Amino acid sequence: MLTEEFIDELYQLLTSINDTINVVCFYGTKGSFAVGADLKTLQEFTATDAKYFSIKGNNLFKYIEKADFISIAEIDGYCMGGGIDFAASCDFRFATADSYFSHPGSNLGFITGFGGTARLPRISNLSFIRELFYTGNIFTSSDLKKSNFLYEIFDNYDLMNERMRDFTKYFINLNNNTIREIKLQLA
Amino acid sequence: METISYFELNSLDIANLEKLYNEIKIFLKDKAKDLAVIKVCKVENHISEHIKLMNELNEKEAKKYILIGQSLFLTIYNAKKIVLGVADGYIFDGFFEILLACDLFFSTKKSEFGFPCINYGLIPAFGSLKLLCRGIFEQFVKYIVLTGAMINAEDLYNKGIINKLFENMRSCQKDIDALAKNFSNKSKFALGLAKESINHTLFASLEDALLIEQNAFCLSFSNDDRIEGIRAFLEKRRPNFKNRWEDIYNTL
Repeated sequence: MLTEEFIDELYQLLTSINDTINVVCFYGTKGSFAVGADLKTLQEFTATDAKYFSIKGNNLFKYIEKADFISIAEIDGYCMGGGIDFAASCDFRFATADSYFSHPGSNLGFITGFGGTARLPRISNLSFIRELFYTGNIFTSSDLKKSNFLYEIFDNYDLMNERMRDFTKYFINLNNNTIREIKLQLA
Repeated sequence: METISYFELNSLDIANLEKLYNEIKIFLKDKAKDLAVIKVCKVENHISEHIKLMNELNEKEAKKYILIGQSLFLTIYNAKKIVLGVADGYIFDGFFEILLACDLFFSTKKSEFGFPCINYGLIPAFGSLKLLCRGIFEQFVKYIVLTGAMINAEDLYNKGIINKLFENMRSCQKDIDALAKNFSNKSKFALGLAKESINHTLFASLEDALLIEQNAFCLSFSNDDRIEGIRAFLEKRRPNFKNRWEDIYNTL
């Protein structure tokens, strides 16, 4: 869950390892990649709290996007709301076929604040992204693959993990400056 | 209660464009309507009628034609309500452009799309080209605009321009009704904010796009729908959303 504490913790961890590693893989536990923010906390938010929380989340995702390491989202299970925005800030997104995606904000009376409406149209098909945000429906990995959001999908987690070991080998000898330069050129 | 407003675009003459423009503006003020459906059904023979129409425009009328076309395009694009375009047949020039301004796009499988106006010395100018280039590859847009080639519905579906394909117009009605039902349970305020963010972030730098979304997110925390929406979710009941864009726009 993308709580303020989790965001702070992950930000500190990532800033401490930048320059020292080449690849960071993000994965979730308990059947989900990330399920967005805590609704009980959001219920109490004022607009100012929302701005503060949104800035925090944006700082983390901008950091991941521009970091000197290559970031990979390994999605196995539910990926909801801010979880999709999180994955969108990564360089690559892989998922198991049994994963599900939804941006339910319009069902709950708000919109995402972690960069989804800004990043998703830049990496995925626009008409699909509109459907995702407007309907709040749950979509499958194959929908997300077809829309270019996912790079590859796998029948199960073990196969994804195996592929990840091979895939990340390509990046082991890359220099952090090179990674940064490539990211800058592609931005 | 029927929450859908249906419109048909049969001709691109100035009077017809003005009529649709005014009807869309009425739809935007109507609190009982949440989804507009613009249907465009054309056949290849209609193109000669259209060329005749273009040929008869003098300079002043041409200016008026383009202004009303662009106003209609922008009204649909900037509306806070969702507009669905539905295409059937040979969809060319301005008809195609108006459908591209819509938020969601359904089409029959047999439909074809393109800008043959280049063949008679004109270019598409309602505003869709900029939008197309952001939605799909610039080279593909150049190809269809410069050659005037017609593209089939499946190609546009694969490029992510069309959301759903249907055998015929009758078979898409079920999906139109499902869409209206889906939106009836949504916060109309959040839907409008999502549309505003997606449409504006498309034309902004990533930095600016993130700021636009950030402020839209905060705005959604300043009204009742978010309190009701989250409470209803936690209480496992259907939300009763009340915030509407008409309350802002109808008083302007």
